[in-house]
Amino acid sequence: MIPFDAASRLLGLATASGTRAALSLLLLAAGARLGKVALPPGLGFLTHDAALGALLALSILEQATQRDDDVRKLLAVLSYGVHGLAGTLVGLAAQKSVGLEHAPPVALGAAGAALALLTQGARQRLHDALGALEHDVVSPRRWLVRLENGGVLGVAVAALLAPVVALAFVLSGAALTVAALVAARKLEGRARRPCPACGARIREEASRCPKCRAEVDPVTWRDLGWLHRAGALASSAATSLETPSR
Amino acid sequence: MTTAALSPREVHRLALLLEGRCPSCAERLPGGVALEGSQCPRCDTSLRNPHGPLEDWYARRTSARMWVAVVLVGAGAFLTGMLPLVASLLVLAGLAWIRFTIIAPGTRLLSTGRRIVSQWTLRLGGGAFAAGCFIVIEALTLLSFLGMPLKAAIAAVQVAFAAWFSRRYLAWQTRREAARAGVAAWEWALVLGAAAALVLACAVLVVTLVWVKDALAAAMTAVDGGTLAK
Ligand SMILES: [Zn+2]
Repeated sequence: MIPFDAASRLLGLATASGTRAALSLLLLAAGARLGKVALPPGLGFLTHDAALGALLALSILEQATQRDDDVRKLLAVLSYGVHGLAGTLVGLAAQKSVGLEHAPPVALGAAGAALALLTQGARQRLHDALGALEHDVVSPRRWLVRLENGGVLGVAVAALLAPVVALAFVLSGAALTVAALVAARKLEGRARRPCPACGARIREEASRCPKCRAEVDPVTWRDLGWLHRAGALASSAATSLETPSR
Repeated sequence: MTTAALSPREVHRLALLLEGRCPSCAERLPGGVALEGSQCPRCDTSLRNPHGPLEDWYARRTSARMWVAVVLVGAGAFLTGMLPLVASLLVLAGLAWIRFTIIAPGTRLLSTGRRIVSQWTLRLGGGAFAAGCFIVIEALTLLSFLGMPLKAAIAAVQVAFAAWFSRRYLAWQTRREAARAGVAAWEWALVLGAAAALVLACAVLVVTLVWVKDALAAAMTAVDGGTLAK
């Protein structure tokens, strides 16, 4: 004779690890019917023919529906019910072994049921998430659809035209440089002022006239800018990191 | 050495020198003269930088500019990850920023021959690199949600690599210029070879496209002839 708490702990383990709850319940009830497992008096109804038949039907149904996502979702309520029942049994069985003799059986049963239902919910969600992942990433058809959505065209065109893209880049770079040179030439003529000593057109930033060598005061002052200060900070930090001994 | 220790006049002179101008008369210097630290051909001012090698100041000046580009392009690519082409354009903008704020201030300091070699090396390398970036980024648009953060990271890495490479390359060239080393023959060969390869690749592409078009036209007329003969 297997005591009920040992049997239902096994049942709880089996259910939590993902085995069909209905099948585990059926085995427990069948054991009780054959006199191998002692059920508490409140659960005597499980040994009746009708209960055994219902559990057998549920196990078969569970097995059959597990293959099909849509049917599984349809019968989710039933599945939650079976897991809830299994959880209740485990909760009741835990009463003696965990030392909660004084706790009301209803609360223990409810706690067990809640735990089982939560586990089942989490498992259900994991199933769905993995299914969606497979649907999104693994499915070759989804990829085909994506490629057909124009992406493949863009990538193919880009790959085919890579030399043209590179050539366009090179030519526009050269054109940009020529434009910058022309602009610099034009700007070089501006930003000038007469030298206070000899009247030659010298740069505004000049502190010496290149013609008469007179020392003059710059009109425009140059700064290295905040980007330079940030860069100098960064590089001095980098050097101090590289040479901590100094 | 930081700018904090320099007087405004010293900063002014250093900034002019970094721009490739004489620190005294502010006229544009012939290439290479500033790095060599010789004399201004106009006013005979000594161009030796009293605050350390000019090439080090160039490297320091460009480091923050690099990170500005990397951060802006990464953030922009993340925000616009769902849209095709935008990330590519952002990388292109990042490369343009690199060209004006990192490459131009470096090549300005070089002598004519080295400037041409450097500009074309970076330009040809940049062209091949940009084409590769374009393909990689557009391929990532296919992975709508997964692609978004990935795209931003890759765009930022691409800009960072381009900036890092340009800085290292120009730091090398400015150092050699300062040491008065000549342009090596292999540098010219590399530029000419890369240019020839690019032109050849474009020619092969055009010939292939023309051939495909002709083959298609021939196939169409064959089909038409067959149906007419029946
Ligand atoms: Zn001068």
